[in-house]
Amino acid sequence: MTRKEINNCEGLISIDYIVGISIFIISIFFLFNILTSMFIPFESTSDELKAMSNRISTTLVESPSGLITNALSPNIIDPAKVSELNESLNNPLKFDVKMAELGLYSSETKYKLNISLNYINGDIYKAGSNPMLLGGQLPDEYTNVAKTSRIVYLPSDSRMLMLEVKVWL
Amino acid sequence: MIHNSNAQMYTLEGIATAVLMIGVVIFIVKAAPLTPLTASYLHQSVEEQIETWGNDLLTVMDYVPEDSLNSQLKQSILAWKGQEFDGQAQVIPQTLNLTASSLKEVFGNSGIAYDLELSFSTPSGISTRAILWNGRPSDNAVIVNRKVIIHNEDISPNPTLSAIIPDMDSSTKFYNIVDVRLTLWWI
Repeated sequence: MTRKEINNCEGLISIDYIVGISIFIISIFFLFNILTSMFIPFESTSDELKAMSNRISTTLVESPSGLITNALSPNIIDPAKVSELNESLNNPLKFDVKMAELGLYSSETKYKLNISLNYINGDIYKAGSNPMLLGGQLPDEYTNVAKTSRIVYLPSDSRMLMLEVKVWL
Repeated sequence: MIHNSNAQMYTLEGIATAVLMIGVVIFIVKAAPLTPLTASYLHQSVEEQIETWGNDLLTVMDYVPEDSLNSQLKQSILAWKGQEFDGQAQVIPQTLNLTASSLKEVFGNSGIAYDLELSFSTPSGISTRAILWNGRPSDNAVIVNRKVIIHNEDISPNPTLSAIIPDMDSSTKFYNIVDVRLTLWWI
């Protein structure tokens, strides 16, 4: 008699076990979901984009084919080259050529680019009333954008500025 | 009858425990400060960024304008009187103050702490002196450096400095090489 009742209990405990284990699995799944989504804001979708923005900023800041005149003094930018870059970034006819020059031309993927020259505090640097260098598209709100910023020196104004290169898909 | 209710009790306890456990896990995950500052492989790009800025800033400060003999960086080292400036202390003389304000403009205002030190050879080994000191760097600090060569005629107007940095070769005009070290970390 007693034995039969104990067996009943054991049968019911297996339901407890099912409920328990399913809650446990759901909580693991939930935790996994939460943890991965937590890190997303801090990483670029692909390292490829970050590498591209790094490369473009290095070309602009450290090579005479970029914004400097003398390879022996990197980071010292030439205003004439800056306005030339600004012109080609804002001219639809020259834009694609400039993109190819910067290594962003691909027949399969359409990369997007935005380059700007800012004060250290982030405001756009202006020559007269127009921005000295601001060109390319504007990033969408929901894309991961790879950004590299470099400190440059403009001797004509004796001023340190921040060159920002953004690349996204 | 009694045993049936026992079984239901176990189920309810199981659910209650599971809910409690999930609650605790959510609470801990939300409460733990998982930011880019947390030491993990993810903030490598953040460290790379301050390393780039540090190198850029030293490069820019070591630029010699056409009308001048020495770069801003070298001028401020040559004008240094051997004092250590802690935190927000007033930095003197004027040339060194210019360098200090450049550092503050780029790093101080974006939440990056910095220490500026000089490292140079002495007959008894390498000696390191702090110029700007903002505290002990954190474990994930980045160090960037730039070497500045000093000649005899550079240092002669500043006897205080020549008492600190020794002449490593008295037979030639070469005086010493100073390693300017900038330690950067996020605060």
